[in-house]
Amino acid sequence: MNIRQAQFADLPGIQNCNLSNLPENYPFKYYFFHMLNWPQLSYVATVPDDKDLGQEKIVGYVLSKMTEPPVKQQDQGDHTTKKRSKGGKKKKVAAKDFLSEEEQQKIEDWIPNGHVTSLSVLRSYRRMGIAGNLMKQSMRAMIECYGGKYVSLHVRESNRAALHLYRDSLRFDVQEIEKSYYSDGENAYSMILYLEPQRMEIDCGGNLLMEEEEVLL
Amino acid sequence: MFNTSIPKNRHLSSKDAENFRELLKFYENKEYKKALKIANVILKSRPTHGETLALKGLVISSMDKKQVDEGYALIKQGMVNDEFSYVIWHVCSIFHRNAKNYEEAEKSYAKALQLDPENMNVVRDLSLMQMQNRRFDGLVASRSKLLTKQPGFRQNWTALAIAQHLRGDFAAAENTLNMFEEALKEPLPKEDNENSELMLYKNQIIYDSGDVQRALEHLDFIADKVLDTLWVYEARAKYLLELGKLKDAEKVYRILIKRNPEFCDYYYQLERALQIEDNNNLKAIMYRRLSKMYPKSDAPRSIALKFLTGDAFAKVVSEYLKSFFVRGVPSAFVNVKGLFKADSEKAAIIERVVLEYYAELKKESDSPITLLWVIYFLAQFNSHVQKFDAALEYINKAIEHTPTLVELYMTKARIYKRAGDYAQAAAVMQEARALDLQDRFVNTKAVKYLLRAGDIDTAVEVVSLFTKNDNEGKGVADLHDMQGLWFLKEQADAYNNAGNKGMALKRFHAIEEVFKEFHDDQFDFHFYCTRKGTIRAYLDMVHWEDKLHGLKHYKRAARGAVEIYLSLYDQEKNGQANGGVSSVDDGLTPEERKKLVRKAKKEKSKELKKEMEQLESKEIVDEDPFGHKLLAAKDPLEQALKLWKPVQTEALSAADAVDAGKLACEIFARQGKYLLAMQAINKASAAGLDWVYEEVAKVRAFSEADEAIAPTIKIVLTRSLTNLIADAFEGTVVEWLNRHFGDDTFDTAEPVFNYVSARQVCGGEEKARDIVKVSFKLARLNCTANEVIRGLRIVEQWGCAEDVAEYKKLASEKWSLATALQV
Amino acid sequence: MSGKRARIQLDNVNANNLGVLRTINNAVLPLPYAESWYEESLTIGELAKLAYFDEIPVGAARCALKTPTSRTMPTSIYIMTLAVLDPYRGFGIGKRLLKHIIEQAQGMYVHEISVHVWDKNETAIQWYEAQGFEKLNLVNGYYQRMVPVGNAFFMKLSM
Repeated sequence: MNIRQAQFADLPGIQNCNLSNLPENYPFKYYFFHMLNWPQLSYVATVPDDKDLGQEKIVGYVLSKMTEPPVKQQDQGDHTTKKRSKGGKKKKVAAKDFLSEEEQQKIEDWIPNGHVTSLSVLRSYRRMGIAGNLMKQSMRAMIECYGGKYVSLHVRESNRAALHLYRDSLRFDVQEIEKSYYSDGENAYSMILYLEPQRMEIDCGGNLLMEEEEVLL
Repeated sequence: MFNTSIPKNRHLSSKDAENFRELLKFYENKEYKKALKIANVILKSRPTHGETLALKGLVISSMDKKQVDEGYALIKQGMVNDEFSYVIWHVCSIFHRNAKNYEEAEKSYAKALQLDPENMNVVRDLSLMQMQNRRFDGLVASRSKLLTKQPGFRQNWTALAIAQHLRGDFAAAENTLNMFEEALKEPLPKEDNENSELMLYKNQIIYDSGDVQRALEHLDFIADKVLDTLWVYEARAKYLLELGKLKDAEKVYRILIKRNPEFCDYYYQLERALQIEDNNNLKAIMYRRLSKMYPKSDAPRSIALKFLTGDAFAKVVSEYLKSFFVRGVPSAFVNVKGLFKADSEKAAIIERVVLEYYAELKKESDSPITLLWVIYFLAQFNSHVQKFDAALEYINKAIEHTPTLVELYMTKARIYKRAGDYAQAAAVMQEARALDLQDRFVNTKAVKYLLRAGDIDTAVEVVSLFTKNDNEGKGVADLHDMQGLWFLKEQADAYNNAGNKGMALKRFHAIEEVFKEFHDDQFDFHFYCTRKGTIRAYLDMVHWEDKLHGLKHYKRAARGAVEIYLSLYDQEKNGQANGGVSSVDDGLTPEERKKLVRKAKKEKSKELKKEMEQLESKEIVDEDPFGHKLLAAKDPLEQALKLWKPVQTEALSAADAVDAGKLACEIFARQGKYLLAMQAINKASAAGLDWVYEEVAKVRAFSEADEAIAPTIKIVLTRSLTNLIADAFEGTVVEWLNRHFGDDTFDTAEPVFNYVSARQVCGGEEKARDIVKVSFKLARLNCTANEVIRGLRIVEQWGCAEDVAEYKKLASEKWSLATALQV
Repeated sequence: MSGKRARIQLDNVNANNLGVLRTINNAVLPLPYAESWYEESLTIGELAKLAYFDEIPVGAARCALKTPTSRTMPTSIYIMTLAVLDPYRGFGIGKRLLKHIIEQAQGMYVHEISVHVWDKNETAIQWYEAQGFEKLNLVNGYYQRMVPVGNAFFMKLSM
């Protein structure tokens, strides 16, 4: 079993894992969108494919992104900004001059933050700590590459396993309950974790029991 | 030829010109109804005005998908009336672009540009087409033009560098990036992600150019200025290793392991840095140390298990497995099963170790969980080595112990599947599902197993529990929309086995459609990524797209479809009622299959009736709801080739390309393109692939039966074949085939199927006899349930009732649970 | 570093895991319950509960409120089934389920928990007694469908 950063070639496997395991699914282009905007943030767990020698099979993944700032700063000479939503449609946003005070405040208050779009581990590979590992690596990349200050995600109210992972193992807080968040009507816990770089270092390698010099052969 | 003055037929009165400007505005604002109205106004007074006709065509094709053909006709008409209008060519290119015909779009944009060389919009759009179509020379030219016109936008510099890089001009690409950096008045802040990405991209260009030393120096220079820490570490380690700076490489790999102790690659590279890849003793020491340093990590332990042997192996694997059992980890078995294939001694050791532990636990155990997972492991183990009765005994014991655990039923189902009882496998998987209805994973498995058992209706019901459903509560359309490749493939196979080739073809083509979507998806990112700056990821995407049709999901679907097309062709040629044998089996008895075929026929007439009703009500949503049109294809071999060609050209490896040649050979031989077939065979023989003899026999047989073969071709073919295999033409083709497929060739299932396939083509009186005789080998071979049942189908088709009974008797000694083999 | 998960965890019964309740009862209890009884289990909220051991479902409890005809509010919680798979007994799972029932009772100002136990089931009788239940009376022929017909002790816990 292997945990590593997701590459482009992993996307079909990730999509397949998502479609087989979870009711919330996305078109392939959305995976493109993640990989081409934030290539460092998504991680996969793989095992050797016993039917297709030399290939890897994806048994777990985390698909993460950074949230977009409310209105992007004006570029050199660009007169409009294009915000991409989930379906890949472009929305033209008005230039800065036409924003309300509230919206201006939002821009000023905004700090870089990450969001976990989707995470899943095949049932046959559970209880190995894969999900926790995937999350930690992804969160560290959020800090290093994008200056992420906090990360958020949604969890189904009934998903005990996920709640235990985020709330107990990874120390997320429940921010609020979003009623009927999911398309089948179930409520979601909106969860948040403030990221601390030093903590992350310890957590990721932190598995490390003792320094090398201390280990006797 | 370029006119500077407006030709008479293009000229509009001032009123019409005003209307024309309105028309353009309406189109750009997507107000198609208004655009159409005003176009018609202009056309009233100027019915042959080319530009208006073309625009009208574009408008109606944008308004309504069904009017695309009419729209194109209008555009063409406009073009006839006014050949040198840049507007018309631009309209034409937009039309093709909307239809995703990027090749045609490129041609039109190029023509439009010829007529209006300074139009930067056209240059930009042309560059997008050139990128999509991988025309790098044109791409460099277009992007250079854009850069010259608008040097103030960083993305134009980036875009040019990418084009140069892709064309192989590493120095030019690097230079372009350098020029931009020099042009910056002051360096950008470190937080600027785009800047960080571009610096790292430059580093990649330097590495790609082959200058690893300079790549390393550059990397050291930018290391503290960029944000992608992981990539810097990984690249540095890679460069150091390649440059032979092993000590330094070792340090970096240890840092990487500390960052992520679960990535096996880092450990392998560390071995290389320490130069101990072939030294099992030193490796054992290193991995023992690393296991102590990272006690929670799987990687150092599982890697060690690969090269350890004997007692050392036994000790480590015992600890490894026990820790899984105690912690209640379901994946203990799947984590070690990879060790069996190469080494049967390891399988024996593992079995011994676990059985010993099991005996201990049975005597005394403080945890029911541990005992449970040990029994579970033993069930999986026995299933894997095909001891199905023992496997069932263990899993039933486990189920008695803890009847509420989903995993137990899933494994039990799996045992039945591997043993050849697909109906029971599906039933047990449904039991598993019933324990946890909100888990889509189990739902997916249940659907797969139901499809394998041939129960398509229930499978659709079950899968629809998690999909957006149509009016009849079925989610099949949703699975198409969500690009559910696994379902499309499994359902295609199920239809295929039930004899419903039309629906199977339909599903295979649906997979082809999904891949077309995957291919088209990249288009928007050609522009987007130059702005975003994530070039390394973008290039990964480009390379992935280039090999899109080499991916296994496409290959499998294409193969399925090609086999059907080949059988359609063969049937027509030979006037047979039932073509070849299906490649995946459902384990049904002949009576059950007949029932299914009858049911399929009844459904077909029901479907035809529905189709007629739909056509009559003009409610055509799906033009070919049951695949009949596909089945009626006039040129099945051409269809097959169209599907299969990209598998060869986009193969992921040279070996894959050669392997794809086999099916290509089948198509070519039937098309009478013997020399192309020969080409494939020659390539394969160099790689030493087993199927060469099969194809040689077929090519010879097809060519000999071909009355229309040109004499020159025949000579070349004969010479080629004898060059390859000296005795290729000694004796009849049947004699030759039997000579080369001697008794000792059949140690696995594949040569049996190869022989049967070739023998069918070769004809002769003893055909049935030969086929049946060889198929009997499968009854005793070490193979899968699927393969044994496939053998049964062959014997059913070519042998007599006694043969079938004999085969079943022989096979059911080993395969006692397979329903198809029950006497 | 991480929050250790308690080995025993409880969860609600819903349409998706109803099959688990059924499986546990069928494995442990002498007599089956009707489909309607299971359907009803979905409507009683906290009175139906599953118990997990290391994330495997191994126990279940299903109760009903008893309101005597003379009153308007329930006065006792009646345990209809309380079962733990055999290999998992002695780990405190039954106790945990009972604790939950007691908490429910307290929350409803109910002071009584009652149950019928087959008089041949010594282990169960002793277990209930160890939890503070008292034998009140023997109900002859309580289990009509048992062969031969079985009797039950009516046991009560007062709080």
